[in-house]
Amino acid sequence: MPLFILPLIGRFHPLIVHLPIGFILFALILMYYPRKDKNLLLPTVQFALLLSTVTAFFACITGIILYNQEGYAFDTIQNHLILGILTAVTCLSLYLLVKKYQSTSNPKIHVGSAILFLSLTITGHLGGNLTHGETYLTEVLPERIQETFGWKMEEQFKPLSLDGEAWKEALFFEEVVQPILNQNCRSCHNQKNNKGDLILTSKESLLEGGKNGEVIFHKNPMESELMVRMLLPLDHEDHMPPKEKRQPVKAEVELIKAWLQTGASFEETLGQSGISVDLVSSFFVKNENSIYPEVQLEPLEEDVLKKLKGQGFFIEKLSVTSPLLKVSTINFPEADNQDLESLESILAYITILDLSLSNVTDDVIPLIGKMENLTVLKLNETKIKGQSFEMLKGNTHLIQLHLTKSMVNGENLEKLDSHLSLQKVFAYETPLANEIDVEKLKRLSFKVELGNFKLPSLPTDQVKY
Amino acid sequence: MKRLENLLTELHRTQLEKQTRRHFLLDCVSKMGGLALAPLLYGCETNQGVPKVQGLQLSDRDLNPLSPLPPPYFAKAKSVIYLHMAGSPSQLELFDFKPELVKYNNQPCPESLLEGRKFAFIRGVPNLLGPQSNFAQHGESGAWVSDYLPHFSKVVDEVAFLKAVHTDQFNHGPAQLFMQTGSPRLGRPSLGSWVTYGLGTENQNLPGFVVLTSGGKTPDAGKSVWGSGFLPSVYQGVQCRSKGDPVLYLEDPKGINRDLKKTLISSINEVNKAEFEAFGDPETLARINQYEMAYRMQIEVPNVMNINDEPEYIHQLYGTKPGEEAFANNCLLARKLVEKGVRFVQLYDWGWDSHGTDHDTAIDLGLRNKCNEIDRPIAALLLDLKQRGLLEDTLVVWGGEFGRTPMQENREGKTMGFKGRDHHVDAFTMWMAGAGIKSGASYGQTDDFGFSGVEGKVSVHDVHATILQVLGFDHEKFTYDFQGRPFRLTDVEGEIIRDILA
Repeated sequence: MPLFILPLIGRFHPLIVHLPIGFILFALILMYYPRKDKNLLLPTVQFALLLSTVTAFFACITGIILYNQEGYAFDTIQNHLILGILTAVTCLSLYLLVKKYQSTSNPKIHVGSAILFLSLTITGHLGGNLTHGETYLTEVLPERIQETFGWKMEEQFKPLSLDGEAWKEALFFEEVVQPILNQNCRSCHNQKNNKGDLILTSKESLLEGGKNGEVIFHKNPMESELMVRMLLPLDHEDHMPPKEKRQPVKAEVELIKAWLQTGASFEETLGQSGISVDLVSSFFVKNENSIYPEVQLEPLEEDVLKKLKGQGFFIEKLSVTSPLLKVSTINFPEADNQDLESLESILAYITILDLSLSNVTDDVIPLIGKMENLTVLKLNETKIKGQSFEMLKGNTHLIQLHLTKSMVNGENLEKLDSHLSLQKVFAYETPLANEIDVEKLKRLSFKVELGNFKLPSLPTDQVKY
Repeated sequence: MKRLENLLTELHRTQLEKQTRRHFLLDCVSKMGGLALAPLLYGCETNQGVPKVQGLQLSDRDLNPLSPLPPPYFAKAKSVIYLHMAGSPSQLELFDFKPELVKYNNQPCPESLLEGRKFAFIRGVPNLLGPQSNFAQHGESGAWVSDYLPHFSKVVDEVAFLKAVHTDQFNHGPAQLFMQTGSPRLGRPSLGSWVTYGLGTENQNLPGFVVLTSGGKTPDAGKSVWGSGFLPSVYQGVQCRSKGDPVLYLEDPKGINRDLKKTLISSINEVNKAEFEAFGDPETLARINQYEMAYRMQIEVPNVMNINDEPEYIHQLYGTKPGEEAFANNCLLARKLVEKGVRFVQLYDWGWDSHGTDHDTAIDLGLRNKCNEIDRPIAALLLDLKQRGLLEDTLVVWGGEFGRTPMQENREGKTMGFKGRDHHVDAFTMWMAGAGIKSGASYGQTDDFGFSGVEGKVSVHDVHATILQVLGFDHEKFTYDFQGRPFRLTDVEGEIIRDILA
């Protein structure tokens, strides 16, 4: 038999199922429509039920072939399969009953009809879910109705983050443990999807526990199921979250551990629990994640950028969706102050500006000062001396200033002292690096990297073993 | 439907390739002279009057496959320097300190560890081999590093260690392919190719993906470890020679000056443009562009690949050996290339296969010499990147293709003259440093013998996913359609190692 025959037959399942659906409904209508002479349509009813039975079994067979050929997981089709077979069997029984009693008004037949109707409807619905997705019907409903019935698609939860200054005031359970559970456990343990009958969305549900009882042992917190499961080796059958799911980071597990250790209180704050700052410090909100300013800017027209690119500038968006730009003269070393003037129309967009190795001079600083969102500025190997560096104080997002091999001296760098955002200045091989007043540099509001690192000569360097 | 369209486009382009090649060869029958001259011809000015074919939408990428693209998400790093120690260094002599192993030195390995396992050379029951180096904690992070790497010990606070990396290939070739392409079999694009394909290159006068080798040999897996697989071949790594001219035949032949060459190239471009108008194959435009790039590279490459211009103190810092093929020279070159905007620099150093079959592969002799060759250069590279601010947007990765056994190798079941270790897949150490990496971190732990990971185990796919994340990609969404289905570097696996990300 050619290999394609079975898959092909299987794929006719969605078509064939409509035959028993139609015939069964038709048979039921014929059975209950006549008001007076209940047996008026008996031969027709028998024929309709026979057809229903044959097609129903055929639908079952094609369905099972489809399941075998297309690699569905048994879990997903289990109910549909069982109910489908039930429908076919009920159909057959009903046909035999009608044939035996030669009537449609026997109580057994009524029960059979009811079962048939119900199982048909549910099987059909489950089949529809398989083809169109579980939310096929609900997603067109108004959002409020979806929320009321809990049909809303999975919510997105932000990862745990804490304020580095006020972390002690954060509630241990509500602001730390619950967010960790939301991130790592909630997708399988919520009102809608409660694997192991365990719901981890609130204090109450957490205390209630699951199928195997409580998950928090207040008497012996370190043996709580909640934590023991997380600490099992990844390959262990009972490890949670399951191996194939996203795993919590170590620091998250440590925090859950600490919460249980300190008594699993639902009221305490982090400060009251007395845990050390090391446990939470990795969750402090860092600006490092996006050092770039959050701004609402209309994306620029392609034509504007095309013209500037044609001039020789390297211009690229920081990410596909961000309007912010990186501009560099990497392929345009002859660029001078005048060339830079043409950037006038995109000043607000420039977030990274790299003018290394170009011909710009200090006169370009006022223009740079107008780039309100500038975050990283590179002036390596330029003639920049920095006389008008005070004009960079307007760049309130400037974090990094690269001055390697430029002509900047200490006096000019001091003009940037107490800059609102500047964090790091790279000044390797500058006149500034040769001045000896390191103490003065240390007092500046930002870190200055002078470099000039050396590695000592070691006796082992030359040894041949 | 989208997939079908992609498949049809792929078919169309493949057909075009065949068709144009056939026509080209046909033309050459009458113009054999042209064919002979072909290698001499290199590009000219950019995009003067791009020819148009109706109904064909051309992107920047069609005209220049290396043109830059923004990453899908904000990226921490824009460049990568990947230091691959081909042959695989012993983690037990360098980073993974196992005091227990000292106690059990020369004791037979517990059978439970060996059950159902195969090793490349070890047979029967081998003896355990204690660490041959002396360990100490270094830096603020307190990382354990052995006295084989005295210079590197000074910069440990810059790096984040992965102590329990595992792979599933115990032979060099497949393991190197796995580490570099995400698959132990041939045919997949290398990490550098994926990155260059995804981001292009910023410096239009230099290749986006440069490969430098040292140690006397290239990796066992051959050039496929920097190959482009099913990606267009323009994304493969450009191997520069570590000795002599970095790229052969870059200089003008005698008697040909640049003006003459330019005239030649203009004519060639006219022909190529006519070709494009006739067939509408974007590959032709890419070709025009590649000639142009080669022309521009003629000036830029010798400049950037020349380390002689560097000041003496930089040479001292790296411990370079001018004129020789040396890992130190390659480290310095890597810094220069990244400084010039090269996207991906891949260094291979050969000679780490410490089996203990001879003096050079003995874990207490040859390995120390290899360590000496890389110790200062790597420390220097990290410091030099740091002082120039390059570590802010460059990711540095270090590792081999697998690790080495806690047992002493007993090739053919015999005791060997030198101390060595066999290939080991269960646990080995890698480190990353620079942009986006939590410096001073250490993730993962191995058991008392250093045999397998007990905590924080990460796979090769996890390492790839993490590198892509730092570069602004979602490794699950970064795909290339080939033969009707999307392919990923991480296939269907890969978890981002968030514990070492800043």
